[in-house]
Amino acid sequence: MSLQAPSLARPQDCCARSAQTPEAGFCGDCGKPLIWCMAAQECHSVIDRSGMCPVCIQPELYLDAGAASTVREGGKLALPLVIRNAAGIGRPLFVTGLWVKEDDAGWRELPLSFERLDSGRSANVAVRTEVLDHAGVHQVDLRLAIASRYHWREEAFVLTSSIIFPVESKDPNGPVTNINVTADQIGAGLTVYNPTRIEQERAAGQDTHARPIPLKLNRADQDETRLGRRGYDNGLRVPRAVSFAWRGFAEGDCPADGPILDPSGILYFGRNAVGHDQEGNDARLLVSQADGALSPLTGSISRQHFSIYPESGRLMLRVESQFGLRVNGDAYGRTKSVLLEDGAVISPLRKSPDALTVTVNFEAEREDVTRILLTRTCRA
Amino acid sequence: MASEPIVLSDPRMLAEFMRQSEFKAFFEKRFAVPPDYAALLFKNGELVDAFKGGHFSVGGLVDRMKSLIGGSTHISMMIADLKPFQLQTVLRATSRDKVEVTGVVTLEVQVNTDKPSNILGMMHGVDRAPGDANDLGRKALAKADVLDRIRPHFSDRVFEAAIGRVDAADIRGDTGLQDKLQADMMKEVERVVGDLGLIIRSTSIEWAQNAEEAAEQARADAERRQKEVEFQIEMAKRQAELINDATEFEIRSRTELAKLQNASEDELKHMALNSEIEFIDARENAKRRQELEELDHQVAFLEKERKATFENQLATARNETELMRIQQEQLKIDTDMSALRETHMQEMKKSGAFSELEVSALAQKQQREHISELQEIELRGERVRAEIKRLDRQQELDGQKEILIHKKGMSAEQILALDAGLSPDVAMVLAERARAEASSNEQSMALMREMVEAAQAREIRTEDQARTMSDIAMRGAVGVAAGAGGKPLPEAAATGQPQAEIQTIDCPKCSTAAPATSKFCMKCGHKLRT
Repeated sequence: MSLQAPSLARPQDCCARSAQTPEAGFCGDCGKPLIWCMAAQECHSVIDRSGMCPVCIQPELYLDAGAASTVREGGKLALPLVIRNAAGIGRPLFVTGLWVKEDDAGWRELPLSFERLDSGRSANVAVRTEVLDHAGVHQVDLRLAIASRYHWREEAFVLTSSIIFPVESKDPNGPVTNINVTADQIGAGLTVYNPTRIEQERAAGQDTHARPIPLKLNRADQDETRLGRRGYDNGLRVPRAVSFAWRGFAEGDCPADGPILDPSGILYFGRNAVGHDQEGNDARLLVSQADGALSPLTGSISRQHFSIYPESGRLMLRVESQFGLRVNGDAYGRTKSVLLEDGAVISPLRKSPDALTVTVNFEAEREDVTRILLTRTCRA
Repeated sequence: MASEPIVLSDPRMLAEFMRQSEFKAFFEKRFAVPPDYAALLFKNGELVDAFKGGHFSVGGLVDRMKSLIGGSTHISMMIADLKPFQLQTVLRATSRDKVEVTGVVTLEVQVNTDKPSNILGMMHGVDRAPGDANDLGRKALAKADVLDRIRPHFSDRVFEAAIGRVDAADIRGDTGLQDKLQADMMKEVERVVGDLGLIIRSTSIEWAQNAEEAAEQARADAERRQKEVEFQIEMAKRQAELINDATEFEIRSRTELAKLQNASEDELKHMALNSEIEFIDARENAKRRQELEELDHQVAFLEKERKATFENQLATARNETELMRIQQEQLKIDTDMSALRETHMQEMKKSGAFSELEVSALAQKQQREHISELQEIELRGERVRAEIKRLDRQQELDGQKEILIHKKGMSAEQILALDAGLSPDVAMVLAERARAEASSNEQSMALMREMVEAAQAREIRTEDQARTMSDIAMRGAVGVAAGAGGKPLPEAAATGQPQAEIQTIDCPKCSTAAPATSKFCMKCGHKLRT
């Protein structure tokens, strides 16, 4: 397995170079924001424009050595596959699904006995085609769902590959190749009917594969949406580099408009002041009264109340507060993750949902969300 | 017409030439070679083709007539079994500690289905003269023949070489050794018969028990038996103690003790009958006493354990605050332990299994121990406190000494920066810049004061930070203009000196210094050049 498949993710060279500068938030050459992998503490890498980390996501798919490459009509072809995690820094890869499709038939999911593949490890999967009842060139498509996980977060991707192989004709009505030799020693001619030749066929180059054949993996963005692995049901996707715009927050209580530049990729909301220390928030949530004084309800907001972050093309919210909160009127407890859709209303105070709300609005260009407006409204 | 199957004459055979007599017939005969056999067809001694199975039609008068016209040709056929087969042999070697080691080697071999004709190499050629006793060509190859060919290559080259490096006791379960032996054996088979139409699929070795292992097993058996006997003795002893404890009796009497002690058995019986003495069964008390004694032991053990933990904490205490905290915790635990002991004493008294005297003696003993422990702890705490103070003082002295060493040979500018609390490295950088920019000592000191104030305000700690700060301060707007145009600095251009440091420009939006070659600010993303 020495053949190295090319990496799927490729951040631009200039961005990768700029990421070497400590505390750099933007690329010095192209000006694009440097978006770090959610596991940057381990992989120290920026992701590419499609949201993939070149260090964490390194799956390799092989057709194992010794696999037959041709089959006769009416037969089945066994495809022994090897899935390998080639990540070099100990990041595990999770294989969450494998589907196979033959020609124009539908996708057939194969049950997998494993999910986690540690760095450098490989797993074997046996795929068998259905009965191939037509001669000619056939194609088997493979669809692989993978995920990278870090604490509670997950980035899921779907990749495809295909194998093309010829199916030879059985041809029962065709001419039979016979060999006729005569010999008076045995007193008769000797006829051999349509045998399977061994050495002549081998000499013609129809050998089995002595080494595993690497299969090229391509990103299947449509399948990611279709299978619900990335993005929203309506096709919208929130990229990691999405820009956040802050409305209704007091000056100094929210960061400047723009993408999340912190390597964690998370925005924290809560009662604590905005700051860079461990307990500091990205946006401060206070309940103020009409006269500008702080409402007693502020005490019900935790120091860190909730966090929002883009994950697998969606905007997610995680409840950090022990008091819980409401999203679109539904209450959620601590450590629960909630999908935030366009127009979602976050009510940090579970018992007084109208006192303080943060509304989420998307601005999209075609299917990509380019800006997310976070509007704070206080009615205490 | 039904076909006759052609198979090997014996299952121990691997390959065989077909007898000519089987093909001779007046009428046509049909034969079938199963698909798990290779059929090799020879014409006039030359290999025509090889087939995986086949269907042959032989004989008949018409074909015979045709052969008379067409001329005579010699035809023969060989069949070879293509299925994998197993070979086993026993090998012996001597280990590093001179113990004979025996292993059963199992080989999985198969005729190479891609090149079955190469098996002829094992058969010493094709049989060209049937019936000739002088012909050395063989008509068949047995599976045992294959083993005979391979076996001599294993004994010294593979087996002795590997076993001689390990001790007999370490061989079993050593997968590394197994892997090495398997790999070596497969390599040998490949080398010997690889191009003779055989392929090796796998090998493995099963170890027979060697003398060292047998001795080890005997030792382990003996130890097990010894332990069993010891356990039985222990159980018997406990049983005896229990019986002893449980048969303790208390005699209560109003008679004189001396009289009782001197009384014979008959006299005691008589006294008992007359109710002068009475026996009280003390079994319950004895049992209760045992339980409480065990509990007392547990309490003492808990206390010892806690003491050890506390000593460990004391030894690792780093400062006064930590020491206080540990002592407070200790006090709390002490109080808990005292309460526990008190409860236990009450229990002992209540149980009636101990006399008043025993309980009070025990209490006094524990109190003595407790007080001495507390005194010891206090003393230890004092010692640790004194040690911490001494270390603090030492650190302070070391710091002062270091500053004095640095100050020696320093310029007035550096000492100024050092006194202001900046590090020696930063002081050196700032002093260099001040001297370089100023024309007199007064100017240099004035500039140095400004820079020290700025460095304090910006919390400059490292040499690099100091250099960056002084660069920005010295070049100011000149740097921005020069950097924006991508041109070298005027002084550098005039002198023709190469620029040693990277040119930076300040972002007009966030004032962050960025390399002059950057098109965008790396802090806020603001566009720096068009």
